[in-house]
Amino acid sequence: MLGGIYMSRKIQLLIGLQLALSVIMWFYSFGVNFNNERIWLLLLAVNLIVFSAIIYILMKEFLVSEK
Amino acid sequence: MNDLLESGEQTEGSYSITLKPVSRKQLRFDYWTGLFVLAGIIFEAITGPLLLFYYQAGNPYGSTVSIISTVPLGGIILTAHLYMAYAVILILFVHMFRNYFVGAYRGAWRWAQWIIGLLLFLVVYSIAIIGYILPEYYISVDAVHITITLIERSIVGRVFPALASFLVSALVGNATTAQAWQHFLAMHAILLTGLAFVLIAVHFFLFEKSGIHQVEKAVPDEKPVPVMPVSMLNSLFLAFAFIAIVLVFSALFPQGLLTAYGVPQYGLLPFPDWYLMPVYKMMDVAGLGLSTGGVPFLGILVVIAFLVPFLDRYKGSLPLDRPLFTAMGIFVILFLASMTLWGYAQPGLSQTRLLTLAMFGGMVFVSTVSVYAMKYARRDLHE
Repeated sequence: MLGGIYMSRKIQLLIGLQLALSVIMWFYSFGVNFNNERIWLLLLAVNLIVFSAIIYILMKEFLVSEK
Repeated sequence: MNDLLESGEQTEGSYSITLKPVSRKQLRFDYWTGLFVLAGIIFEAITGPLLLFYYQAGNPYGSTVSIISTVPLGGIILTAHLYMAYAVILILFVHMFRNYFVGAYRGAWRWAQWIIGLLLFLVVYSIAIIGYILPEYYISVDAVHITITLIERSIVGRVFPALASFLVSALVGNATTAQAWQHFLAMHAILLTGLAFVLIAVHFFLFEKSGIHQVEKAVPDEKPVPVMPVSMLNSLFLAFAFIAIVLVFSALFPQGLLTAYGVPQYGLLPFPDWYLMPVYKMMDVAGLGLSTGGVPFLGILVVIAFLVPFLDRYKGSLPLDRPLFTAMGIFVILFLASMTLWGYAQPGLSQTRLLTLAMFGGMVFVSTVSVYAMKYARRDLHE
């Protein structure tokens, strides 16, 4: 249970990973310039992949609970 | 009215708008090709206005350079906008051919969905072409010249010269850079994009009316999954994963600036983006080029595509149950692929009619014989 909402361990881990990535992106954004903005975009893309993984696992869990 | 609201009685009307539920088996990857196109177009509609803040129609190349080199994150947004456009066109072909081969254009309202889809294809192609005109590269200005020539020398342009000159002035105005590029910007960002969103709305409405096209025989007692959250989460997952993949490509391979128009360069042979290569190579057919042969041939293909729902009279809906249309689809794929490769191998090199006809004959032969051979092989297996 997290704040009264049930979450599986997998989703908790992935949300943690996403938060960590977001924090890195936040600090990185202070030093972003024309030479390294591609790395920032890569971090954004990885963050989006983690987000879509969370959504996928959520969908699978709903499907299992539907059975 | 207030009395009615306070009484709490339920009157007739829609209390909830629902999307058509899908079954568990329909959460397949290949059933959702249209979703990728929609996700891509929404991504373009978000990144486009960000570029519009800095793009100047009066100074197209200069403002593109400044977007890449002075605007924070401008270069990667421009790259992502371009790569997503490529991805949209690629997935558009996948979506169209997939629905063609499974016969998804057959049904009560599906024929209308097919025709609106084809219109959308043409509109999205026009938006893409104008998109690569916008930075005023060498190939951009070349594309404008070719478009004007196509309008003026086509059959329509020759029969109705007044219409041709109206279309040309609608396209480029008084032909100064400032006015022509203002027109392109208006078409790219407002007119054609607005039209595309109206068509998407109708296309999607018709999709909701008919539901997902079932390739195999539908299982009648298949339990639907809830639209919210399962189907919605599935759509979100596919859309975000698709956008993330395109962003990875944008980060790894940023777009470089092409040669500006007006910069003299020895031996520069302008050739277009990959999705226009078949049209470009068709123009190289000697004597069958711009106005009389190559491009009208593509026009005939488009007209046949519009008529497909009315021409297809086969009973079955599997590809081998409709051999003629399957063979036609394979011919078009072979045609597009070979003309693209040929265009990159020998850009601008004229080819004889005989060579072109021999090549087309070969492609017709291969597609027809292979499909009919498979059809008869299948029949022999079942006997």
